[in-house]
Amino acid sequence: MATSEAYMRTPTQQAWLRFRRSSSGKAGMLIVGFFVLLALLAPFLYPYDATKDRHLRERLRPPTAEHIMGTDELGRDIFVRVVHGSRISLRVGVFAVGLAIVVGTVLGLLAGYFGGTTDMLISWLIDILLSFPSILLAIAIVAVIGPGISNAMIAVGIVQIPIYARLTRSVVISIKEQDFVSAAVGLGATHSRVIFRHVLPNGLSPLIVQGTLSIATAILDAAGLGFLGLGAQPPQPEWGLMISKGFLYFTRAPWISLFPGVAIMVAVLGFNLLGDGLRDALDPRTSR
Amino acid sequence: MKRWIIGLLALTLAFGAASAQTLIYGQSDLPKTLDSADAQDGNSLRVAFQITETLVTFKPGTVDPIPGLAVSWQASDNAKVWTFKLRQGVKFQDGTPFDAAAVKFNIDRWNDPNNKYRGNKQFVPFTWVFGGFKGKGSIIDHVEVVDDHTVKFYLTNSVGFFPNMLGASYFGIDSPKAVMANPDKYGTPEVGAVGTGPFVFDKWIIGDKVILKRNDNYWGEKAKVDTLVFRGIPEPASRLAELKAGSIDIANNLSPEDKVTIDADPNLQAVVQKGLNIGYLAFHQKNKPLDDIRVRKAIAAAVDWNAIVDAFYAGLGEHATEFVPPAMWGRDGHIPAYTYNPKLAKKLLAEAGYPNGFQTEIWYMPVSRPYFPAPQPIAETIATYLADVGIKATLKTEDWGTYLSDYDQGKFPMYMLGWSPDYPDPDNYLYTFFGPTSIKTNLGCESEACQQIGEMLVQARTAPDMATRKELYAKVQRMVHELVLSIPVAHNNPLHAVRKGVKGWVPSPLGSSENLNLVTVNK
Repeated sequence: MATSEAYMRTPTQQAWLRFRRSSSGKAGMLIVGFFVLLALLAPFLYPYDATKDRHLRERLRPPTAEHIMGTDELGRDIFVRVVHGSRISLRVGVFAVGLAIVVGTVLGLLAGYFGGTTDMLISWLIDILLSFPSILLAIAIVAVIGPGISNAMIAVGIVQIPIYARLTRSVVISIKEQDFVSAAVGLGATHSRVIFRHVLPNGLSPLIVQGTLSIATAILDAAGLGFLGLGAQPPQPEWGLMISKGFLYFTRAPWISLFPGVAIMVAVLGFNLLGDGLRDALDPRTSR
Repeated sequence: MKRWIIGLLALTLAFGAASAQTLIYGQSDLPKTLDSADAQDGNSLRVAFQITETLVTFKPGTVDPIPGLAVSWQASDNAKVWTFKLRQGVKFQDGTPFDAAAVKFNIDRWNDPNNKYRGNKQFVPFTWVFGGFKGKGSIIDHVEVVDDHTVKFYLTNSVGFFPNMLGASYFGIDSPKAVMANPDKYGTPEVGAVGTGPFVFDKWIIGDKVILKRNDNYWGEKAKVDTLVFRGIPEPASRLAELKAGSIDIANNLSPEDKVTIDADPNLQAVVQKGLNIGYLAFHQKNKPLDDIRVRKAIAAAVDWNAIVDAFYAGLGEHATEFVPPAMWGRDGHIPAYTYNPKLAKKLLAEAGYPNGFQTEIWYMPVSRPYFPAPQPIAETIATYLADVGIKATLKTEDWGTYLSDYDQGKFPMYMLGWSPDYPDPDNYLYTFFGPTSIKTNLGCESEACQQIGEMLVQARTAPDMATRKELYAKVQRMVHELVLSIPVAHNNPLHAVRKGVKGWVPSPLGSSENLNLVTVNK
């Protein structure tokens, strides 16, 4: 009876069951959910205009009940800035990874499905991109297209393209040999139908896992660019930028850099945990 | 056997302690060049000043001119011909003699745009001080070698403070032999510089440090340390951290807010220098709508400059109202500060046709400077004030070297810049900022009034009597204030610190001319 019950569950239900059993997944979902909620509610809870924020009389105040994370060199409330920074970081993470997934998946599909010369050319391109350390490549891209948060987003996205191209390619190669694909081809399905109806949906789960994990990397890379002055520009409340700006006052007011640093750490941890949980849930080989 | 080893050990220790005296100087950047006449920034000039020397120099820590490579000087009656007697028996570090021919070689190289030993150098500072190159505004017509130790400068006009100009740290006399050997690369990390100074160029490790060694044949007071190392550490907080850790001996231009931290540390000593500098916000009028005086007046009124100085100078600096600092003559003395009045600013903007403001850019330097100890937060604050009246100013910066070659290209609509004087004369401030060339290129102003300001400054530098000069300088500053050509922000008394045991270091009010040969280190 138990066996038949298991058979009656849809794959989605099975995945959800596995996810619920993964404690890292639940912790990750809590953290990520918290940041998403914060980002969504920030404009309502703490209306904020970075371009006008200035309270010179309240500079460099340590954390108190009034300013729970203290104030920075312009007297701005660090808590409010950290909260609004989550909007920037999440946006960067999602957009950069979105860009990487779309471009990378298309490249990987083409390479894996058609093989031959197409595969060779695309694989070369991917190998070249992969031969750079990711942050270095991002710096080089920003140096060419100019600093700024949108350009940082693009740079971080480009850096991650090869990951998805590789992943998709390997998944596609294994799926396209399977019987149901051959059947579809035998029934006269077009390439695009085979790719988008049969191959891609069956290769989605590793992409989802990888996507969640690389949002963490994207947040970290974007903060790194901000720290180096190549990403977000002042007065934007971007976490990496806030850390680097606090450095001037580090001996007197360490909290300026400390709290954005903690925010980065927790957010990255959250996405990594969530990614781990999703892997437990979606990868059938790990199912118990 | 054991005793022998201990003896040897003791000997090496004693020997090591006695021989390896190194002074490590932490400044905000490495030099851009050691060819001093091509150097525009204090970090370059400070290093070059240890290697090459000027004809006239200044008493350490003051602005009183004293003999340098020249022992005496005299003007003709109309101050158009100046005779300099040179120090005898001085040799360049490469062994060639320092003589009148060497002086002429250097001046000709800087002054004559067709001189074949200029290399790829622009010698921009030469034009700041002398008004241009030969035949194109330079006040030096030619130099004559009278005998081995006498040179005569023939000027196009009378200039009463000509020796002060030659004392500017740009005009270190380089060895003609070294320059001729490689005019293009002279002053670069590869070649370095050769002069008569107390230190000899040893090595320049790109991106890391510049190492100088004591010149044992120096004619003056020989250096107290064997090795002098300059390091570029961009962040004031890192400079302070390295000073605390003992990896540098002198850290200059620290954040004023760290005075408390320094005073609390028994190993450190704060050195507050009497500054003669000025930090200002300039407009480049080639960028609309900054050519409109109402817009510039609106910007001046939109920002609470006093609050900015209060916040970011920790009591060490003062709000500037004129471009010549109070410790110097040549001020009007009664020019009021621009008062903070956002309502007036909005009204002026509306009159100018921008009731909802406009988009512009503020450029700030990426490194702390004596006059702007915290450039980015200051720029950010200015931008918030402008946002209050509707002006959306984007904050921008770029590499400091590029910044210095870009600000006169009209690329920056508004930019922060500042100045530490090269020679103690109001001319060195006002002519540099508003002289006939600067007012056109640096500020993009070609109006009649601006031309008039340029002419008045030319007049002032050649006027024979003090009273006339004084009146002209006061008038120029009144006009600059009226036209809001640039906004003076602060005169700062920069904060430096040394490790206990570093003795004899006197920072210079002239910015970079520090006599590091007089400094001892007791570690």
